[in-house]
Amino acid sequence: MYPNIRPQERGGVAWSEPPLPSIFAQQEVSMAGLKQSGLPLEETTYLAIGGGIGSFTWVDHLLIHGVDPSQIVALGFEAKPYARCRRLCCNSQIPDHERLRSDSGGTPDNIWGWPGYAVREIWHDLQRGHVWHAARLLWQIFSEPVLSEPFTPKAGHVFASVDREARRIGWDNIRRFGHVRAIRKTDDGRYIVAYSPTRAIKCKPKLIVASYVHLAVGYPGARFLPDLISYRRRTGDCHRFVNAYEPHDHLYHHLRQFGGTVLLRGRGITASRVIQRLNEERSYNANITILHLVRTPKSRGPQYEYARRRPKNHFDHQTYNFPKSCFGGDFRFVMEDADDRQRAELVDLWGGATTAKRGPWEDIIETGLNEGWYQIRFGHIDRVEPTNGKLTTVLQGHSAWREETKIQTDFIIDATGLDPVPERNPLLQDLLHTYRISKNHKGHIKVTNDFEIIELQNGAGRIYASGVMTLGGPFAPVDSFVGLQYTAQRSVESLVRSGAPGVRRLGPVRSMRQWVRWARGVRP
Amino acid sequence: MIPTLLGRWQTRLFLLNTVGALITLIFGFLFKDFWTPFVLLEYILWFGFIWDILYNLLQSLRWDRDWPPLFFVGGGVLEALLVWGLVKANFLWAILGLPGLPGVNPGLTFAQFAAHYCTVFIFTLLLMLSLMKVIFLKWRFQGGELF
Repeated sequence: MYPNIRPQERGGVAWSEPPLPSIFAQQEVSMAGLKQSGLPLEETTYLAIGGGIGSFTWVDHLLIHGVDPSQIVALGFEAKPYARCRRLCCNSQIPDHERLRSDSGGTPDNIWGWPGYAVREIWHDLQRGHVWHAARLLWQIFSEPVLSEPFTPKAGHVFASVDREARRIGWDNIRRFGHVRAIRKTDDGRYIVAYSPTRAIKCKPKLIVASYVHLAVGYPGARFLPDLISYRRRTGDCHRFVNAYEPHDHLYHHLRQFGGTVLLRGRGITASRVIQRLNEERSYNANITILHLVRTPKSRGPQYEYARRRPKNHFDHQTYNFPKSCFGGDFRFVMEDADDRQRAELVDLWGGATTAKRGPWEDIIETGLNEGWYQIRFGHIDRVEPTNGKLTTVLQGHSAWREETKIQTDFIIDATGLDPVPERNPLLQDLLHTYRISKNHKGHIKVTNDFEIIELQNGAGRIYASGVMTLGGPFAPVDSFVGLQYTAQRSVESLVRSGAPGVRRLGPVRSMRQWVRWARGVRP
Repeated sequence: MIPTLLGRWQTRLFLLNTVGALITLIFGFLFKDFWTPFVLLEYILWFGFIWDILYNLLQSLRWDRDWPPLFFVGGGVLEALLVWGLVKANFLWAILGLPGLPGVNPGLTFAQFAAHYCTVFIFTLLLMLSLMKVIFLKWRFQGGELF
């Protein structure tokens, strides 16, 4: 399915999976029968599946809302909740010292969103005597986005803060290694989950029963378009034509030493990052040129009511992946009130391939265009052939006369993003098949406004979802730190209303008390 | 927090009637006049409800439909200028046969007005950017709506 991609990029494990117990052939499993079968069985109340930042945020909410940690289990591949996010960031040229495209208040370590990363960075600067930098940041958060560029946190700061919160809530005791294979309803209003507990081949699956399950499995993998798959199948070469989310540092090392031409595809934030990195390499070797391939010219941005997004140099700019109002203003309500079809249209209108408006990036493009080492082409790749150690790409134009262009480059970087299709995740595919759960108009898992998968309701048992698998649902920027916080909050509120054990409402006084505990680094 | 119109109204009502009232009480002690600062606070509140409609219209012209901190400050300056202008609009009150802006001591100085207004404004703005998110967990996702 993902040719020549290291197993880590598919989630971390190469499996030769033994069969599941026969009870998983049924839609509903009898608990009495299961207990008689003698299969080892474990029970918990809350189960988070995924083990990434989405699971971490949900578990953090549960604990702060009063749930006993012994009642929660989180299953995932990685010890650190941000491990996969960090790996994908590094591959797509956002190392720890670079800034993410995320709001200061998108704090996966802090359910309140305050203090945001900007205030924390100012505080750290003041502690280290960096008064000037602190003053600059203060001005930035006061004047953004009108007179300054919006503040975004450094990737390393976000990950370090998650480490701190993980220690505070005892994440290591809650999280365990587990590759979830299947989920089934039980006849007593709960769910039985089969998972492989180790990386060992032929390891028997373990079973765990839970009343409330949270699914946050992220992207199934990087998006491999047919031309890339076809090229790799024919040539076996996975070094010259790469996806930007794969490890591809070899390419930059080669360019630094020998120079060369890169064909870059995509015009989102990842493309901007790649151009920034290539520009850095140009300071070592000026013989590097970039041919930027986008499908169509972009001279006019989308319009919603009275406002229009303004593109520049065929890049569509906005601060985050959706307009800021989607994160908690008017647009959040618009999205929640919309029907399925309207939601899909709004996601396409507000989202799409956009990049952040950053001065240094615009300068690079302007300089490159003026000096000729950066050029834009319109069309799509028809086919790619290896030619004398280079790549010959046939581009198909979208103009009325169907122009075909042959170009020769040293590398192709595909920065068109990650693959969000739920069927590519075996667990979601199994759920879609077994319970016929609905998909929304965007082709993702349909959820209620509380992010519950309604077809999986089982008596008092509930299954919630978060992250990109719910794109096109009641909240547009689900694939963001703020989105993960919002979905966690909504699902935990739903648990409070349904009287789930241990979860208590977080009113103003309890909220303040819990925040003080967070600030002191004391367990919830 | 990206405000909605309802969120603006509710947050303004809440903050001015809690923190704003507390600060106004302190200024009442300092000025030895409780009536004028509280009446001014009410003018700020009620004119503010109308200002909020204008802010919301302007907000809808922005693609992000957000309201940056700088705009909050700009709005605060405009609101102060309007109320102080009304305090000093003697010609208007003379036409209406009034001694001055109803409820406000004609001897109010600009320094007194500015000290009171700026203190209330700065405290409410800082609270809005910080502790409101902590006290009301859902507030930031609801465009500032509390109820």
